Amino acid sequence: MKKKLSIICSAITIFALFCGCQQKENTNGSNVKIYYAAIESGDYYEGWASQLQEQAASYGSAFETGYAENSVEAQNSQIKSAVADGYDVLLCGLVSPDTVTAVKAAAGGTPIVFINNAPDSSQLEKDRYIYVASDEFMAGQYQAEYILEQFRDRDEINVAILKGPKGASGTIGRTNGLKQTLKASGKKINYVFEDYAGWSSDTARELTSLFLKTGKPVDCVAANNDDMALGGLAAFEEAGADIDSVLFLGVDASAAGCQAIIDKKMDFTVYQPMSAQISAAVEAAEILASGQSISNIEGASEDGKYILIPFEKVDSQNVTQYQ
Amino acid sequence: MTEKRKFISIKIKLLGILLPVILAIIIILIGLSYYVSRNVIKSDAHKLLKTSVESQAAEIEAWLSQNLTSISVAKQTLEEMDFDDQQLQHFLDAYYNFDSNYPEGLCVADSKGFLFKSKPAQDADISTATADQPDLAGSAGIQQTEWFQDGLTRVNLDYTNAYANEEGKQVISACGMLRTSSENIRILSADLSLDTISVYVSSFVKMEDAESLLINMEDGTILASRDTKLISQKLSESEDAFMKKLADKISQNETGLMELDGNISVLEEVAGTDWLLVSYVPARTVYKDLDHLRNITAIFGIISVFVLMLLLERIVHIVISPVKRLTTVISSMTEGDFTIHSNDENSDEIGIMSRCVNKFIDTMRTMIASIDNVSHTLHHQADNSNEISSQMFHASKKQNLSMKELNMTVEQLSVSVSEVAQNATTLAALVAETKNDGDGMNGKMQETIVISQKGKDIMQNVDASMQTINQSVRQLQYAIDNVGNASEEITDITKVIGEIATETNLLSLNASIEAAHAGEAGKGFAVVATEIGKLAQTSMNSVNHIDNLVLEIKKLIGDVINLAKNNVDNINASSALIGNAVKTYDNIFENIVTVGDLAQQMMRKVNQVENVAKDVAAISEEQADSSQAILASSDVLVEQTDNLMLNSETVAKESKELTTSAEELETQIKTFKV
Repeated sequence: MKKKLSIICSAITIFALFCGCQQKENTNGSNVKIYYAAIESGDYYEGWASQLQEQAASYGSAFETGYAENSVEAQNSQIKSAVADGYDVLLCGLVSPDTVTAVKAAAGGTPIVFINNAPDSSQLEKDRYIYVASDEFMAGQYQAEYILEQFRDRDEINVAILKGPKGASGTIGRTNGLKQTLKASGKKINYVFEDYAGWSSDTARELTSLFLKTGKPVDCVAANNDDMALGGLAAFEEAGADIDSVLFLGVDASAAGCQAIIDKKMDFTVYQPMSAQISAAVEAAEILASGQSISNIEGASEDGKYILIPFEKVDSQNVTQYQ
Repeated sequence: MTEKRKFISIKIKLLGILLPVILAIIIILIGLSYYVSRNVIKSDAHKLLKTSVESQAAEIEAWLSQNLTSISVAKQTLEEMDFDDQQLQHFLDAYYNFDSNYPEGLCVADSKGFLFKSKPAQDADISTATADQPDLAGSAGIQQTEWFQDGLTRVNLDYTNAYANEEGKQVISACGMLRTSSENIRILSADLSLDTISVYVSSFVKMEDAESLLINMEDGTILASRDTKLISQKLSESEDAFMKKLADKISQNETGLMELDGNISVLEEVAGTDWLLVSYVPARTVYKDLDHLRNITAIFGIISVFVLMLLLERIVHIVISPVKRLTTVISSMTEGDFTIHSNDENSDEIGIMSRCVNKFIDTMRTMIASIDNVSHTLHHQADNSNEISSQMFHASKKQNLSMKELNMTVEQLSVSVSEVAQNATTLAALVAETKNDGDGMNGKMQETIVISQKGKDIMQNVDASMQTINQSVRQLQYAIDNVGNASEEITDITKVIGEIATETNLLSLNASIEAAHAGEAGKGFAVVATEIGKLAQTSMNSVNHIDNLVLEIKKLIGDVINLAKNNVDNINASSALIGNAVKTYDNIFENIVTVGDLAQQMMRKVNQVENVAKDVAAISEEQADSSQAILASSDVLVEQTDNLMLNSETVAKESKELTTSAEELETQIKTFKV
């Protein structure tokens, strides 16, 4: 009896020791290897890569970036070789949301944290294939709330919308957030102009100047990003139209956008906290590599497929904080 | 009887256990398979509906974007080429009947109200004519059209909501502003019939009994439906419960799979539009298969239960039947019939059992036969032992009585012996005392001899003295005779005195009488006469007294004489006696000496007697102890004989019972048939 007990006790002790060791290795993170499959090179994604690397280094994890240069094939082969090189978890900015199945196949069983570009919800899987992003819908919602606040006395609002590229997750989320919030107010909303300007300031400017020729009344220009808002603003200035009575709303709180708010040209933007996205993405990657659940990360959705980082409202009151 | 009532056969028990278990297993299995199939069917139905809707939506999206692309090409050409009105008209005409989706071709309208429209080739002349002179009157109408107003809100082509065109046909227009440097804004538009979309919506449903609706999310208008009456109606205005619930869901922006009013519905947004494709199928259609499956499984279950029941019953029956036969054999065996034989051809456990039973029956038969013999013998023996034991009982009874008597005798003996012992002890003590006394007596004897010696001497002195005394007494007798003579003379004198006193007394008496006669003169004389009378009286009394005294003295003297005579006689006799006594004394002395010798001899004898008496006492005490022990032993003996008697009584009883048992055994053995 005593002998049996002692055997059991020692077995438990040894097991606990092993567990302890494993735990320690994981917390050290010395053997977690993270691979970032970025959409393309250039300032924007290279900025992401460097911040991600910094964050990964704080965990003591190895980090490597591959730029697909907008090629689906390049992205797949990069992912394949990364998995072959023994990377534990992938951070992936999808070149195209349609290739998510191929990317998943290339990754084998390796968990993937999608960033930058949203895959379809049905392609995600709890604690295996997750998406870390800003809550795009919230950006549109904040814009709409600002508009409704400014025109709270009016029953009818004329809105011009400048959208990102057709089908992009940011375009759809932000536009839906805007439209649905406005609709819910019960006011009559006239969409006097609505077109895709593809994140581009120039396109936005061109489209806006064409719109201005129609002479339709407009109370606000809500753009899916600051660049397009500034493009619209430029078109107004070019046409000599009154910009004081018209609200210009963007998203991103870019340097130019914030400056425009300080200059009282633009009225509202939404800050997309990229650092929060980056830290959440790396934290999620570390957790997935250890085979645990992301449910304890802040902003994790109930279905365990998403980590959504909230936006922050920026207007003339608090713009200086975001410069 | 009660056992028979409680009897439940193995068959029923087996079936009672097996059937419910099998029933439960079958029900669980069938229930489980039904449950699993149900879930599979349900999820298949859901998936199918979802896939169907998705593919419909994709078809619609593809169709819309394909048309948008082809019209966008025309738009781009127009923007690049910067045609004049004539060229524009030609360009537009080329699109008439160019594409079946927009057979009417394209049209361009500007903010001034000019309208350019594709026209059939054969009407080219007319068209050019009208093109030169645009219809100014209709300009206001053009600018108020759905497509023109919608086209003003964008540059890139997109679709309007569905609306009825001038011909009353349901159309959607792809429209947008043409990029231009001039102030005159031109809108390019192409009307697309919703027919094609209706075909997609109503016919491309891949599920039986499923229906689809295309709804504009903005205002809830139905754009396409298999039921043409519904087209252009608003969901919220519909009477149908399903439509109302659908309107609720749409207003809440809920999409995906849901069950609405008994319909499994899938709401899918058509990308790039505000359209919502709704496919729905009555749940009972889906569950029809389920019901079918349920019925089949139920029937299958019932049939399999019945078949299994039958099979089980048969199997159990076949398996149990040898057991039943064996049971009959064992039953008759229990009733004592060992003439039967069990069928032992089976090769299984029951066969082994049968063989064992047969073996058992054989063994039993032999055994019963020998038991029968033994019981006979036993019966005889029991009878014998019964007799013997009763005899023994009587004998032991007698013995007991004798024993008791013996005991009493021994007791008396013991008492007697004890008495003897006591007496012997007393005797010994007495002898001891006697010895002591004897010792004393011996001493005294010696003293007596000495004293007797002295006495003999004294006796001789006494004889001498006696002679002296005799002489003295003769002298005394003589003296006394002299005294007697003197007293006779005294008596004579007194007699004279007495006679005088009597005469005096008579004289006084006469004197007193005379004195009384004399009277007073005689008184003095009377006193003297009285005194003389008294004196005479006293003298007479004294004389009498003296007379009496003399008489007494005479008498005393006579006595003394007599005594003296007697004394002399006595003394003489004593002398003679003393002489004899001396002689006797001598004899006595001799005798005493002899006695002293004898006493010494006696002492020796007494010593011997003491020793003997002591021995006797010791022996008789030992004897008393022994007799006590004998008594105790005889008590034990009596007890034992009592026990023996009781035991022999028991033996007698039991041997009687043994006889009875032997008889019973015999009768019971007789119940076995061998």
